Amino acid sequence: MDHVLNKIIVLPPPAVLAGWGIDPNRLTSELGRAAEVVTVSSWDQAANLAPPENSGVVLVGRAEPLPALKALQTTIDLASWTPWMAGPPHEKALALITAALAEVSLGRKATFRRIVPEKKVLVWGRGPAAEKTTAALLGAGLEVILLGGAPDFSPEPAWSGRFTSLPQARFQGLKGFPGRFTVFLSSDDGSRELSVGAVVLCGVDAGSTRDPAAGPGGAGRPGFKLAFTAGLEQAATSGDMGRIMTAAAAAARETDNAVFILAPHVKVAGPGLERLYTAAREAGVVFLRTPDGGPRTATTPDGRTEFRFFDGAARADIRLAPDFLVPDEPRKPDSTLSEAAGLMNLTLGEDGYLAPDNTLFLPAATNRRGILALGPARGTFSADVLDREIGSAAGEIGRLLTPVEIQDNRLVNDPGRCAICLTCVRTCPVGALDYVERPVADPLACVECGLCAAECPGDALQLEGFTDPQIKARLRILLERPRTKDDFIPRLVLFGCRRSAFPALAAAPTPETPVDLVPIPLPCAGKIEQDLVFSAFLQGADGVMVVSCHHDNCRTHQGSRDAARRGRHLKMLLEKAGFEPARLSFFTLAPNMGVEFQRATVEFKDRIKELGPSPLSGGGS
Amino acid sequence: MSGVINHPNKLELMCMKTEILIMGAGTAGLTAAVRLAERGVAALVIERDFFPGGLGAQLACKAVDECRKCNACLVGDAAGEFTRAGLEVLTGAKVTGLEPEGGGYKVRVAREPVFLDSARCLECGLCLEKCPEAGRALRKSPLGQARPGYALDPAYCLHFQGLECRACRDACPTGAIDLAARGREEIHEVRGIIAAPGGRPFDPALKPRLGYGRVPGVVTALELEQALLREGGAAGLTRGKSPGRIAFIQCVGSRDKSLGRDYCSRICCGYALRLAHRLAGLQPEVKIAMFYMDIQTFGRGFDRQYQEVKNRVELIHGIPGEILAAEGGSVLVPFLNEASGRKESREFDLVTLSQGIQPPDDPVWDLLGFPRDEDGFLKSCPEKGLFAAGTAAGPMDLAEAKADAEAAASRLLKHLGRGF
Repeated sequence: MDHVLNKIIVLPPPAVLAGWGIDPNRLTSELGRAAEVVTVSSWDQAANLAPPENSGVVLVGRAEPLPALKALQTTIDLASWTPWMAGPPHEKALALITAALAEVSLGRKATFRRIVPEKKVLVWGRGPAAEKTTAALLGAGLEVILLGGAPDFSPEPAWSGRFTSLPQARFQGLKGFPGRFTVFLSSDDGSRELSVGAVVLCGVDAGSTRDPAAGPGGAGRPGFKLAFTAGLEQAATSGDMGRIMTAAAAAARETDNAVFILAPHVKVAGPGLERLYTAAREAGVVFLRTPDGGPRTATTPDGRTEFRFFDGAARADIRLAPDFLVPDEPRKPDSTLSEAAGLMNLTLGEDGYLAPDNTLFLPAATNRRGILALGPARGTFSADVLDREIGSAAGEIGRLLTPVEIQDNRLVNDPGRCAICLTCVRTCPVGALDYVERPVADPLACVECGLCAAECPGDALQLEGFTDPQIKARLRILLERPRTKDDFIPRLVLFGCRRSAFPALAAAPTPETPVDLVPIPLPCAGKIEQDLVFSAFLQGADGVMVVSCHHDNCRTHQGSRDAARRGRHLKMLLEKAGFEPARLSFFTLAPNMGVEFQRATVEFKDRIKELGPSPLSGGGS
Repeated sequence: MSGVINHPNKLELMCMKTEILIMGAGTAGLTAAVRLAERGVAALVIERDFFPGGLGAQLACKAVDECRKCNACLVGDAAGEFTRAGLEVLTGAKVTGLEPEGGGYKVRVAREPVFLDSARCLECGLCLEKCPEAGRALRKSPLGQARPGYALDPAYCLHFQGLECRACRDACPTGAIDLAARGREEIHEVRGIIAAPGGRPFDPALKPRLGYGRVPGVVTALELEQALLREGGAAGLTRGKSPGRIAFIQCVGSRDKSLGRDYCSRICCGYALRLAHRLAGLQPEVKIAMFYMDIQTFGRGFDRQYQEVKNRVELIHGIPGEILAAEGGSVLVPFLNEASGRKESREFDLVTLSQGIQPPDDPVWDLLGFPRDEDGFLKSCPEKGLFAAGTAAGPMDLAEAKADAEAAASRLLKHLGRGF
């Protein structure tokens, strides 16, 4: 295997190191044997280093890698990390740099592949979302195949050469990866295969079958009561509220009918809706506030529905039996969504709409790159939100379908260890793994979370930067550091998600009592493995904390849950082995929770301090 | 953050010439810049403040155990992407003029004196250790994911008060601090502009009867967010003692024709319900009431959250007209009890005003030729290469601002002819 040949350590100027309590000359001589040491006075200078091909660089004193520096890089955020570590500053820095150097030395030479994606997109759905999406993608210059659209829909003639409508075809399946999916369709005259770069699921919105405009019109004897309901069964969307208010206002203006809208809340959180609300009231529409649990209903002798409730704002007991009732229709996921999810290995939310209900999947992402969901497919029924989803999706597709030179060996399978059990393929939360003689990750689809590597029973799959040897080297070097002699400061290993735990650490106020933390970043907390936790304890950690993103705020949606599940299992194992499970802590944090990171870490340290040194450590002596 | 990374494979970094001006480095501005860079379009991102991040960087996470989808973490994610794309923000900068030039614009950008040069700053923090006014004069960015990491505010710096202090300059090992720095003006030629100055929270002093600034214990929702973000609790707002009785007053500066705010600010019900959830999670015995007009839940899962919080929060229909100081230091809120029809009043330790969002008031937007909608928010004008994104284009939450910026970036690419 091609390992990194040249190792370079980039240090800030001696005065900075000295300011941090590090002896610059000693450090340079200590490190000079293992790698080339370069001192820079700005990060721009570091970015312009132009190291020889196949170099590995350790950037000391920086949180993020330098995109312009063409080399394997690892960063050490000394200023943020060292306040959380015990010992003299020089020695902490030396250990962190040595650990980073070990990581880089175990790094592999990058290989690249060029991918030229198919500039064709399959749009699946019917209604305004599907039609606007089709138009936006055609307008961006792509070729679009619309599946299941209205038979009479056709976009601007200028684009017709790039547009195909298949209103009757059925979706049978999909294989492949972003940029070059193969889609299988069938229709009465046979089946066909299509190559597409991306798929957009728009769901079905045929418009409400109970169109609020379809009232009784001008029909109205004096006192004729027309009522609309909005949100009695399910919270109305602001889009639906707008349609209802428009129809009610028109009825009030154009007829002599008494017009009512029954709603627990008037939803005006959308452009122009507050004005529409005012206009509807001015037109004579009476808004009645129903209780949150819904009004009681009864049937009058002549078969009308009567609503009975107390309207607090009007301070009146209302009994209303409209002559004509226009009930709003609760929105439901259409049946194509679960079908699509099943055929494409997509995650549905608990509500039955596509994509997990997770902030990091907004506005149009699903758990698979290159497959997007928007509009009714993800529970969006408001035009303003839909427009943003479509704009964002068009941008994402444009980016994805641009030819790219991409590294294809970030995830590597060792055939000698792979039992071809395909656990990895089943585990991958983003559908990035394929089996071609052995498991292979698609570089465009892979999000480098490492969940597959964590689950692999043979440790055959490894994610560059977070391979078992790399993480273990870091762990070993940092745990080998001498302990403080006088007082017992528990040594805690932090296995943390680099999206949440490490930004939280960097934002955290400095702890007021000494902490002896061993920082081990993970690509996602779901990369934590039993083996790593045991390694930490066996090498003398007094406590281990695993910090993940909050559930539903994990970029893979699965990693934080995987971590929590492993945590429960590990605690059980520790208990059975007669080792205090309280020495292991799993908790969740957001990247902007610096204060909470400090609080949780100090609390954990205090708990471990009470427990005393780990029976496996030589600490406290 | 550690972890070996290889060549930046997912981002084709080309030699880019500035083509676009992005005004504002909040969630929307940062996101738009990344999306453009990914397609080989360079943007100059300017920000009036000392640091990028905008309003989003001042908001607290509302999770107790599970994510509540407040989206406050998105700005940090956007900043991280921005930095990893090799981009930087020009802080302390604003546009002072522009003229059309060959299908684009010649923009005049004025920059406040930058006493701390981010190109030379290694973020070692040594200056902060020496600054006698650390935290005020010399500040660390609240957003660790993007540069600049530090800034010097002359309004608090002793040197600029006429004192002989050069502690930071003397401490800086890389000579990044220049106390004699001057402001400068730059001219940039751009083919389009994205306006993303962000939301302007309503100033509750415009509704004096609500007691803000006069009645102790009346705070804005933004102040509560900041307290939660910086201190992890609300005690700092109530003289160090955790408030046991908290009220939220909704629609402050929203749905108010008399103030010319004839719109719903969309985000306030969401943040207030989530703040209530967080406060209840921090302190189980806390009593929370919310005075409201209509609860504006929208989007997935939000109504379910409302149903959950409803069991924990007393919802009182109607917005109080005035807020008074009660004896003993608490806050008195008179209101109409709709069930009884009688006027009542209730005492609280902390009253939070859920301020709405106002349109941008800076005349620069009119100078640049941005059209406004009937509420005063900025509209895009694609034929002129002008695009508005984020909360300046209308009230929206952070996830929507991110989506809006992505949509604006993709429309702008089309305007530049960068389709396929």
